[in-house]
Amino acid sequence: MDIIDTFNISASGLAAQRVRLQTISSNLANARTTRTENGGPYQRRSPIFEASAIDSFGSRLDRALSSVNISGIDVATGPGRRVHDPSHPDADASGHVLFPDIDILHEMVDLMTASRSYEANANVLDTTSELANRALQIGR
Amino acid sequence: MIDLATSVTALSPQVTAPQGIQKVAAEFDDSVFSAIGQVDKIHGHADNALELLASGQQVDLHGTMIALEKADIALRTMVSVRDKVVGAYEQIMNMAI
Repeated sequence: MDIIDTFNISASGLAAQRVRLQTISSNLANARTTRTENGGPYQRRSPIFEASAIDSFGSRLDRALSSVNISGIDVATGPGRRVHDPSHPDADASGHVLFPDIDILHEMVDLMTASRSYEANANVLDTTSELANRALQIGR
Repeated sequence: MIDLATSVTALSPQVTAPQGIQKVAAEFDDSVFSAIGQVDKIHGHADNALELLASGQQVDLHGTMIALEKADIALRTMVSVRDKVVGAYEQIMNMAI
């Protein structure tokens, strides 16, 4: 377990949070998208994270530590939100339109936690780097 | 450090440095060179990351910054080790015989 491993773990956290930010931006941008390639409204995306051991052959301590991996992006399968709007071009015969089942408030809260998580991981990096530089000053 | 051992033998052909010292010197030499190689490799990674970012092929800001930080720490470590080794060498050279 050297300092580079700590960097790699934090780097994986930063990458994971960036993917989370990307899914949130996609969800927010498409909050009212009614047309997609597969037909139907846009479906909400959410990333799936998985822990992966940083060194499965290393020491006991190394095997206990894991970085985060993005194992995929889940696409919701719900029918969407039915809104009565007969003037909408995508309205069906009964005047209903299917909008994505995306709650803007929910996405905004997700955005806040994602950005805070990103900051937290960046702080771990800074602290690790500070400690390394401090260690190099021992005996000066 | 191997130069230290060879210069000892060069200065006094009759007295060769003991086998043990030569072995230790060679091992030290190897470890210094491998450490420098490691630092060089980390710098290569940082260079590569910077190039990719600058050319727009990879927009991974934090990856690039982390590679640079790793290179910075590796270099600082190398400089610290060099300072220690040079300090030890100077102390021995200044020893009154």
